[in-house]
Amino acid sequence: MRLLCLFAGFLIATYYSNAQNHVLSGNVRDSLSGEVLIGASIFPADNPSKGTLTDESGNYSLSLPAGQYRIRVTYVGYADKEQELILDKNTRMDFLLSSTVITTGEAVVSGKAGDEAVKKVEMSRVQISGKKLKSLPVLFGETDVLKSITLMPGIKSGGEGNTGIYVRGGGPDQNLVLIDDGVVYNPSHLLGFFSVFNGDVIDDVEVIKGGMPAQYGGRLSSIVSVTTRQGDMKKWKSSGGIGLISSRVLVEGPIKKEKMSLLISGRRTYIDQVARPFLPDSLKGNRLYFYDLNARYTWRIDEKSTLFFSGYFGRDAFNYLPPRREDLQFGVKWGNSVFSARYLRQIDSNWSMDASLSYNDFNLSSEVTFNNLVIRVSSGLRDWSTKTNFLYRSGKHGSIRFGTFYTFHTFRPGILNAEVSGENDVNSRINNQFAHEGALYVSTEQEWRTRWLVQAGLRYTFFNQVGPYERVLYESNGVKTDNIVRYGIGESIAFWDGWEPRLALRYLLDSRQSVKASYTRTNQYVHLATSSAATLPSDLWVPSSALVKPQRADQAAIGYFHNFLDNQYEASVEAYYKRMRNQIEFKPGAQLFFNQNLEAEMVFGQGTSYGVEFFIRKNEGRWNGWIGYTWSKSLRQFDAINNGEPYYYRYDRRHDISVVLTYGISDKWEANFVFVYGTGNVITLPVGRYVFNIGVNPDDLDPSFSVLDLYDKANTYRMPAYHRADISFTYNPDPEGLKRFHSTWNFSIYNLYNRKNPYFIYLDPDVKTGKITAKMVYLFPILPSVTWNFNF
Amino acid sequence: MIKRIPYLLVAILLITACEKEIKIDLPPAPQEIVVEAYINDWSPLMNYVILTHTVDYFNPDLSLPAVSGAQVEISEGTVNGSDTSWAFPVVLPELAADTLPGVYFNPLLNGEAGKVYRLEAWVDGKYLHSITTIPEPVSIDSVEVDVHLEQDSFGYLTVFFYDPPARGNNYRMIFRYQPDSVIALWGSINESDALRDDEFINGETWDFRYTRRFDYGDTLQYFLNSIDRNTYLFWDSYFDLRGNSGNPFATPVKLQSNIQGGIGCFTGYGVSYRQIIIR
Repeated sequence: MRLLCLFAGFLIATYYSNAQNHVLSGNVRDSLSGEVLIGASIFPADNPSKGTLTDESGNYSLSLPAGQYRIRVTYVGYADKEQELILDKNTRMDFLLSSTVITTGEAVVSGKAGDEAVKKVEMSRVQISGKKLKSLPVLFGETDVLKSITLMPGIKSGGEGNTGIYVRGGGPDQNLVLIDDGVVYNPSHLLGFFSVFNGDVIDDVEVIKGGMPAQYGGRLSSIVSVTTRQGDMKKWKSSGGIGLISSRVLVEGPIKKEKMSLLISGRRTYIDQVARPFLPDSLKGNRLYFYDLNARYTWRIDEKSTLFFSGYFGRDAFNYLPPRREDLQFGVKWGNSVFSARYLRQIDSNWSMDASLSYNDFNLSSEVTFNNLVIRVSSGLRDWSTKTNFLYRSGKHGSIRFGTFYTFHTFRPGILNAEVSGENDVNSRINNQFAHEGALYVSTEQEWRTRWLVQAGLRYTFFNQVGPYERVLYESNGVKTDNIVRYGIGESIAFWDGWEPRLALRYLLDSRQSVKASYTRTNQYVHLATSSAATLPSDLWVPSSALVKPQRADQAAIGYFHNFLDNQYEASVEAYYKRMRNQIEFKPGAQLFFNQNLEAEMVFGQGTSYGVEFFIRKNEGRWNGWIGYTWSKSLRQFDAINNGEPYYYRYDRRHDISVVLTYGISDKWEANFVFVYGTGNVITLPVGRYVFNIGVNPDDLDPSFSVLDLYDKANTYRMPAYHRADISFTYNPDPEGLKRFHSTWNFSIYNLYNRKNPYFIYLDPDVKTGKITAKMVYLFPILPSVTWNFNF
Repeated sequence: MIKRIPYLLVAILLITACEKEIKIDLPPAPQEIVVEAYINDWSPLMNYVILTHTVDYFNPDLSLPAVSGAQVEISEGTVNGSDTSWAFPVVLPELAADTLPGVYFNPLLNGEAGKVYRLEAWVDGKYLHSITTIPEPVSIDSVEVDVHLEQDSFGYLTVFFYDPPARGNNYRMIFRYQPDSVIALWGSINESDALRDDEFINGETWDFRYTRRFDYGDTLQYFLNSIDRNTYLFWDSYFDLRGNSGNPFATPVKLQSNIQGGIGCFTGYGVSYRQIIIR
């Protein structure tokens, strides 16, 4: 309660401080396309420390004492702009910036220049722009957001064939992946080899891995927010690309000039067609591909309000036709559909708000045909969500934010249907589950004596599993009882809630150095059920219920931030400690598919992770890029696993290095280089063998038995380290953009020195000699690729 | 098939994968005693205890690592409410330490349905013990054989029985096809060996059908063995472990052993048995 009082006092203080200030607000846009510019710096030319940055809708708001100012606006890749004004009342001023034509051979990096890293209260955040993403060398030349963000410290990749990301020792389901505010539950294509985001439509990606402000929540470890581009507001344009395994096309333009724009983009892979000549005959009947579509419609209703509609639809399809078996067919399809509508409004110079409504659906369906028998199985989940946020800016760098969040979840664990020659024979389903999830938050940011900046927030979250539902009761030893508890529509089955305090502090040592600290508590009410080491589309999301408690994490972080050489370099060191409770694992050998009693297969425990992250980035110049290094440890403790003793998390990684360098060779050529190193994953290998089920073979009277593996401690074997270097060259024959039809080439080499990185290890016993050999499977050798991109 | 979808998908993607042999140094594991013991109400010849020990993982020698020279006893208990009264233990001597080491057997040991049994073993200063039950057997209602020897020599064996109305019945169903019928150890090669509990078909008629090539004069054997829950959980984990071996994506399975001081299972069978000769 004392905390609440303090909090309320803090809010009031924010309202009434420095009433003699006036607010300068407006937005910043590209002069040609009319697209908003996110993260542009706006500041009085003679006092840059009083500046601010545009938010995700391109809006800014500055509170300054009355007086005469020269306001400067800067944004990387754009010419600076200055404007004189006399501030004697709250004033609105919009800026249009022109993109610079690069003729000096200086490569453009769209990152954040300026002193934001030092001045802002936020820590543990990373951001990569769509432009930067597209220049990085990647597998098969396919731009991949989720792979690229793992080049940042504290964010780890699970390795090849795994788009799961592991943020500060957390699991892959502990990241809230958003595309324009819509949730993506399964962000991978082709079983984790590619992520669902098409590089062409991405404007910006932001990852919050700690020090989460109160407007974010729902997952323990991070928020990965992907913002798509707005369509061009001035003229119709097309662009696209042809790559080794996929092609893309994008069309954008104004529906009504300066008012409404539309952007539509599609991507389709043909990896199965490309690979076909190299496959053995027995596999030629297979098809494996994915496609996705993105669309965004922007309507700038007036100067102060904007409406967006955004949609994503993607499907993976796999068909298996066994050779010489015309009677047997097998097919599986899965994918996400995400739609969102978002409304942004600058109410007056102090108030702004945004509201959104989103829908997402993940569906996996498979069909097996055997003669005249057809078996269909499907599973998935669906959410309807709404969000509202209000922001009040007042006083000297003071602001209050508050808002609400609500989701209705429908979980569909499984429906099975079997048909013989058109007649429905068997229909079986695991009962759907329904739940309400909601949150309310309030947060405030307040500057004190210039050096201190405090952001304090409180978020209340709840989760309510509701009927209709039939819960079958089981005894503790797994025997089903005849007792079934039936819940009516809307009847509460389980209710969980929690308070999540958030606090972030910044102390400026001088104009170039700061120290920051943060504390975050998060609750997570939905969980990913997976028993295998790879993330697969068959993994199920399950709700918190009477037996499954919500996951909870507390994280504290402290960091030192230093920019030097006129903000050309930004450097930081952050240390974090995270404790995660009610972590879920499945019992070894658990049957997840079509299991009505899935909860009985779960075991609960806790996790701890801590580490130090070093980061240095050069934002501009002929040479630019970054180097990150993380030292970390991640442990789990489950009473039912490893005799209750703590053990290393599978993705525990002692050392993690990433180097990303860009060099502008000439005005036509640019080179990008990536190097990554990560300590190997830990796995459990058997420590011995024994024989069981001993008998006699009736044919020859020899002994018969099964040979079984003996396991001891969990996750004690460390796989070989993962490391790899990639390089790419971008060739732009027309750097000045004089021609109407413009094209660029991207040549890249993945795994430059042909490192054999472990995908998994298996033990292969020879039946005859009994000798066992260990084999390591690796996926991608040195792989060159070329992509041709065009726009007109 | 459906259960294997994810693995099948991965398998397809692995066409592009390559592999290389690596050397793995596993720390030597402490040796543990493995117990495979049976007590049943049908034939005293099939009550026995086999003791073996675990071996290092990369040890290529797969000959039975028998444990000889143990003192093995089984005692019968009668349950009266919460009390169990134990009879004098029966000692199981080692059958033939030089030719068939590690097998402990006493033809005088009889099992009875509804009783509990305690196994105790002393070996190299270690003490192992376990308790199991012989549940009341569930009788086989009928067995049908349908043979089309003239057409394709395929045949069906269908077994019918009624699951008792109370919940909690667990079964191990063993079907053997042995032209030269030798009733040997329980683990002898079985045509079909499956575990069921009555979760989905409690109190109903069950019919299980087995298909294979039959010939006139063939002998078929069918065991419907009732087991207690702990025994069921052990064998369930055994089948998981056996099925998972070699699958790099599966998580390691730990056996739900019912032996204190060692690993393995003391299995009590309440047996219903049919033998069919194809005519």
